Amino acid sequence: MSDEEYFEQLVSSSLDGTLTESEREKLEAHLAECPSCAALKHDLEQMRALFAVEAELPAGLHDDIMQGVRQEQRLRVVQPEKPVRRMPVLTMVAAAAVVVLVVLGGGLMPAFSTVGGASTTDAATAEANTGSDGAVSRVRDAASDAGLTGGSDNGAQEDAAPESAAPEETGEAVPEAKLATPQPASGDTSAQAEQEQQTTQATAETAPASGDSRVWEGLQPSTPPEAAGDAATQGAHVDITLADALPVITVPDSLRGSRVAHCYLATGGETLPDVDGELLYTDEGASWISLENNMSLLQDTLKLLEDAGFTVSAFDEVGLTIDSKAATWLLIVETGS
Amino acid sequence: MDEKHILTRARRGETAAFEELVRLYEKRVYAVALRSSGNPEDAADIVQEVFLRAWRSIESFRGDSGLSTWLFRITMNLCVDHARHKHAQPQTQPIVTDDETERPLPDPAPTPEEHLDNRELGRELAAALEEISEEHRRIVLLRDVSGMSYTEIAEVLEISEGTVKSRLSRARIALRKVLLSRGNILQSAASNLSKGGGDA
Repeated sequence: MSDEEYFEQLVSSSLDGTLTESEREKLEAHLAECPSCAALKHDLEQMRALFAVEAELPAGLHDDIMQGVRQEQRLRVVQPEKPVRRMPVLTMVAAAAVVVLVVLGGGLMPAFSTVGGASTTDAATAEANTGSDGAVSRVRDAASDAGLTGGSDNGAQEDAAPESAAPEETGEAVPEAKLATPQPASGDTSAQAEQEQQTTQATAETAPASGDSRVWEGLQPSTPPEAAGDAATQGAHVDITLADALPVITVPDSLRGSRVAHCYLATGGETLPDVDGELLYTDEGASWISLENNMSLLQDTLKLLEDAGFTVSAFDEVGLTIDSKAATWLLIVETGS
Repeated sequence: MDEKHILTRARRGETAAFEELVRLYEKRVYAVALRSSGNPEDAADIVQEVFLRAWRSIESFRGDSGLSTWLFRITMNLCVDHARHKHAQPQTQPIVTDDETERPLPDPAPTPEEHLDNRELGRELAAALEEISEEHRRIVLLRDVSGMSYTEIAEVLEISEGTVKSRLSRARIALRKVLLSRGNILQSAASNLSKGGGDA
């Protein structure tokens, strides 16, 4: 490096405050006798000041960024992992047969007659699809779930699997597709769940239950245990990971509208470890725990759960108000799935 | 709450945590995009794409490098892509490298006496940046616009800190040469050209 380059580099570094004491002294001495380097220093300082002129963030850009992110998250949920294959003819015949069976069953069993025809058809079609086609579409199953739970994310699912849902179910598309906030449970829900159970039996396509099931009808307080159990079995058909499709959860009335700093779901573990929080609510296998909004506690608790074999994931759109400054955060733990 | 904890939460898919990261970096990312593109609309597009890409891959971000390193690497790549795309369209501006002696004619307007608002300043700086090499442009943006340390720049560009120091010096001198020749925002220093301009 020539002397000229050496001093130019010192001038440049002086702008960044990275000169050693000895370099600084050398540069000062050199500048006193080299007008060229003195001019360079002057210009570079001026140039740096120009770059430092504050660039105001355009109004609305932050919101646009986050809107894109949320949109992306929704797309992540509805995008099928595997290409959706069209039903083979035999499957369609099987589906039609299932519909006939279910309709006949409805006629014979009064309890089923309360279920709307559209849901019946949908459930049967979805089940026949997932059972005999092999190409399991989680979107289609999710649509079936929505039918079960009264959820309302049909619109986005419809985008991904337009042939899967009955037209009657597509009318109430809502923008939030990531999570369906279920309607309060009703008698119909139970009946629908029961009918799903019958449908599953009719198709005799029940896959082995898996701990990876991410279909969470079991969390709904009013779903009968047998129906919930069956729903979980159906869920085992579905190749869903939590990151891809989050479960449907009904927030207990007592917690609805609560303000929490974060909400996390822990699933897949057997036993609830000893966490440092207050148990707010519990139902079939799900515990809702309030913990102090403390980052160490959050980290420790999530680690504790992961060490105990749970899969933990953020779950921030369940009808709660998420406010990072809230005093507590909420943990939902599902055990023994 | 420190960045590491926010990152952990964001990696679990918590959009509220990711939003905190966006808040931490959006201004700096925007500044780099603006200085690079010279156009607020293009800069906004770049920024949105940066954070979208970050969100898509944050789950797999292992944290081997710092978050800022990772984000600005994405930013620089997008800025370069944008500049290339722009250059792919008909251009009349010459590209001047360090060794070139030919100087483009000064931009006729605005004069140095006129007040340059941020938008004009942005355009002028971006135009000047376009005239230096991509290597020099990157390092000036990372240091003088995003304010990254030598260590962070070394990580982003995958070069040694010594190289950061020398390349930054050459890049600044090249940029000074362009700005002086354009005569719009460094004209007040152009009187020094006889003394200092010759070393560019």
